[in-house]
Formats: sequence, structure tokens, C-alpha cells
Amino acid sequence: MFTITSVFSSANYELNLYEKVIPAIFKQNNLKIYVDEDAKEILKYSKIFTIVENCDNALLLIGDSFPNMTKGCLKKPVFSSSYESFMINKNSFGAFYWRKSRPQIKFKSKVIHRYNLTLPKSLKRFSK
Amino acid sequence: MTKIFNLIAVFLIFILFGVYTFFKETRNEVIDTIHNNQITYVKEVSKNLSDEILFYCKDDIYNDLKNDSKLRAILNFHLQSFITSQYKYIYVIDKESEKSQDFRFLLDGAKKIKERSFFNEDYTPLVMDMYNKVYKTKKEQYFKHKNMKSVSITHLYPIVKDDKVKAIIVIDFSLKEQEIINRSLEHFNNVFITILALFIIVFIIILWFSYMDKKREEEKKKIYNELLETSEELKNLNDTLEVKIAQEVEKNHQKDQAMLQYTKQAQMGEMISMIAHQWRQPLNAISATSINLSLLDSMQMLEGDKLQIDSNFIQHQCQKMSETIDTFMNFVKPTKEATEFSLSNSIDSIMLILGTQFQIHGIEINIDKKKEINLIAYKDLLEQVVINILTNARDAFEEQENNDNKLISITIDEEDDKAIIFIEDNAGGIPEHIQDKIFNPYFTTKEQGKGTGIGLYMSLDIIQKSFHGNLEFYPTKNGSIFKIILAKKF
Repeated sequence: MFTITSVFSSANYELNLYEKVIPAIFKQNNLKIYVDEDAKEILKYSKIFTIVENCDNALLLIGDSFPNMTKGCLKKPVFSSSYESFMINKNSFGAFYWRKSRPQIKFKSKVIHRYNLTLPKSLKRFSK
Repeated sequence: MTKIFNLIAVFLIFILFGVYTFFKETRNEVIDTIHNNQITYVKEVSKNLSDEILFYCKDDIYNDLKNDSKLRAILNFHLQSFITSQYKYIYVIDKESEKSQDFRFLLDGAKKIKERSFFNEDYTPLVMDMYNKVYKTKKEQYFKHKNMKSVSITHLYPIVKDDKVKAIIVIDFSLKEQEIINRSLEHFNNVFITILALFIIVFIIILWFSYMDKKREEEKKKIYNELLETSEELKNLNDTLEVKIAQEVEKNHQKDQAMLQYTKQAQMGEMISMIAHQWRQPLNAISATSINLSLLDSMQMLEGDKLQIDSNFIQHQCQKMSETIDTFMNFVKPTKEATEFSLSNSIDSIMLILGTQFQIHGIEINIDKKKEINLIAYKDLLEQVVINILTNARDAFEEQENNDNKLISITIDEEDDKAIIFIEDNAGGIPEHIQDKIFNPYFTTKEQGKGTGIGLYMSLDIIQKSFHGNLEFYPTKNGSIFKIILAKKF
């Protein structure tokens, strides 16, 4: 069962969390992702994700700010790295961020449904 | 000295253990006091904040704050005023309802905007149970974190109104100061334990050395005592040795004397027999002469001349008998002092005693006096030795009935400034297997009652001790040679 504390206690907890949560929602490994600079620092060591330079080739976007995006990219699902972005971005289906030194994970069930994704049972308690 | 040292060391170890225990208790007390002070301080701050929030939020905290952004700013500022490096996070959260799982932020004292949470922002605490417990018990709670870097303890204080928990004031604070003090005390503790361990090790080493030293001392003492005992025994032995030697010498002397006496007595027996032989002829002659005189007298035919001649003859025979006794007496009488005598004369006087006996046994005596030698010594002892060797030869001849040429040769000579008497016989000799035993005491080949077995032993002893010489035996084809070697000057 997925718990925040189990991830939290591991050494590369952020990378581990991304690698556990995102493939579970998209139900596939070797995901092509488009990331912002902050997320890139974390995800560049991943063996599951493939970071692409052109967001058109990506399955989803991870991060908060994407300055050079094509029109096609604007509709792609986003996994945010802050509460603010999670609340503002309509395509954001989930977020992982830190609040008061505690890890926070959130999901929007409506957005997940819109993209025909399924939230695993163990993560449903984090959705709104 | 060692015992005193050991007592001092044990006493010091006990003192060190006592000090260590006292230090450990004090350390725990210091840590507890610091901890309690922090909790008390946080509790008081939380209470003041709770009172202030309740003062400003008259109706409902969430709605009042939602509707009044200025009030939120004022209260956030108040929370912010308590934030230091130690008290890192101070914020207020609540639940939409008691059944709600998630919490939401109401106030946040974070100084940086980036770190500040939004009003009504969802919040998922790590230890949810403790937060729910505050709602249930309406009492403050605090708990320690293990994995959070900057936060050590989280203190939860309920804002209670109308006996209901309206919100929770959360204060996250670190135990940096306490950890620094604790680390210093721990370091001191480690140093103390190291010193104590070192002291114990040194004490054990010294104790071991002390034990070894004691053991060595005991061994040394034991060896010393044994040495003393041995020394005492040696001293006693030394003290008694001279007496014992003197006693043994005296015993030997007495034994020698007894043996000498025994030999002499044995020889006396023989001599009496010899005297009887010597006297038989003159006694017969005297008897015959006296019978003749008596017969002539009874027949009135005794003339004056005849009486005178026969009387002289009887006197002469008596004189001869008297001389025989004198000769024997001289032989038997022990010489008390060494006197000068001629070897030649000594052999002659022996022949006077033994001559008749050897004639009876058909033994020819051949005396060869190559040198005329005078000695200053105990004459009787030498004669005793010679007589002993000659009588042994005579006894050996007795067993040879078919020997028609019984000969004993006595030669007086000189070799390397020593007087030598050779006595050689042809009486058959001594069997080879007993030749090396003939000088042993009580060794004899003669019939029981005839020989004592001490003759040759005594002879050798006499020659060695009284004449500083030696008595040697050499076997020949048909007999034996006894060589008596006598020192001329001693």
C-alpha cells in the first residue's frame, strides 16, 4: 500500500514518489515527460521516465512553469510541484509539494476523469 | 604495600563509578529540565495566542478569518513575532467538520511568502492520529519527529470555545540547543567512560603484575627456605662428618685388629703344632738319654764321664728347646715400634719355624738372597705376611699327592729403590676365574674349618698400610708367584 511516510523516509523520496505515483495513474512504464527546470533536477536520474525536449512528444508535463509551450501542449495533463500551480492550472490532475517540511500530495478527481485516467485506491484519500 | 595499593585502586574505582552515576543522573536531569522548560514556554505562547485568536474571532474562527483579510494579516503578524531559528513554524489549522479527514490552514506565521500557506489550503499532517486526538481529548499534545531535519518536536494546542475544539495551534520547534548540550554531555560521558575503562585496564594489568610478583616472591621464599634447610642439613652433616669418619676409621681399625688377631690366633695354632714337631726330637733324645742313664745307674755301670757327657747333651737339647720357644715367642710377640731388621734374617727365622714342617711335607725350600737389605719397619707384620703365603703354598701342595718335585723359591731382591720378595711355588696355581678374587675378604677355596678367607686380604692390607708397598699375584705354568713390594724409606 502506498503511504506518504514510506516514501518520505527513503533517501531519494521525491524521485521515488514520482516513479511510484505517475506510472500507477497512467498504468504504463517508460513514460515520456516534459519537465521544468526544478523537476528536471529530480527526474533526470529516473530509469522510468524519459525527459523529452519537445513537449509535443511528451505524455504529460511535470512542474510549475513551462514558458515555451506549443498549443498542443496546453491540453496535456500536468502534475504540479506547488499548491498554487495545482489550484490555478485547469489541466493539473495532481501535485506534490512541501509544506512546513512535510510532503503533500493532492489529486483532482475531475481532471483525472477528464483524461481518462484512474487513481489507484491507495491514493484516493488524497483526491478532492 | 601491594594490599594498600589494591585497596586504594578498588576505592578509586568505586568513587569513579559513583561520580559516573551521579553525572549520568545530572545529565538526564539537565536534559529533562531543558525539555520541560521548552514545553512550558511553548504551552504559554500557545495559550496566549489562543486567547488572542478567541478575542478577535468572536463568532466562528474560520468564517471570521475568511471574511476579514486584515484580521488574518494581524494574527499572522502576531504568529510571526514568535518565530525564531528554534521555533520554526507556528500556524493554525482546523477541520471543516470533526468527521473530515483533511485539515486546512487558517493562519501561518511564516516570514517568507513562498513558505507561507494559503488560507483554506488543504493540509495533510504526517501523524494524523495525534491531531485527531487533540480534537477528541481537547488537550494539548506533543510528539517527537525522527525523520524531519529542522523540526524535532511538534506541539499541538487546542483552541477551545463552547467546550469544542475550534482549531489547533501548531508550533514546530527544534531541540538544537538541547542537542548541543546533550552532545557535549555525551562527549564528556564518553571521555569519562574511556578514562574509567583505561583505569580499570591499568588496574587489572597492575593487579596481574602484582599477582605475578607475589607468586615470584613466594617461589623465591620457598627456594630460599629449601636452601636454608639444605644448608642446615649440610652444616649438620659437616659437623657430624668428622666424628663419623673418626668413628668409621676406628671401627675399621678395630676390625683390622680383630682380623689380625684372628689370623694370629690361627697361626698360633699352627705354631703350637710346629713347636710340638720341633720339640719331639729333642724330647725323644732327652728321654732316651735319661732312660739310658737310669739303666746304666741301675746296673752300676754309670761312669762319671758318661754322666757328664749325657748331662751336657740333655742341657744342650733343653737349650735348643728354649731357643725354639724364644724364636716362637719373638714371632708371636707383637712389635710395638718399628725396628731395623734384615730381610735375610727375617726369612731365616721364618724357616726356623716352618722348615721342619716343610721337610715333613716333602717341600724343598730354595732361598736366593740377591741383595742384603735392611728395613726399618714392623718385622712381625712382614713375617706374618710371608708365613701366610708360605702356609697357603704348603696347603696347596697337600692336595697334590703325585707331585714329586714340590718346590718353593724365595728370592730377595731390589727394584727401583724398593725391596722385593718373590715367593714362587709349583703347587698347581689358582684357577683363572677366581684369580681376581683372592685378595677379597672371606674368600677361600679351602675346606670348611681350614681357611678363614682373610689371609691374603690382611696381607695386602698390611703391605699397603704398614710398608707403603704392594702385594701382587702372577700365575705361572704350574703355580703362582707372589711379589711383595716394600718401600725402603717411608
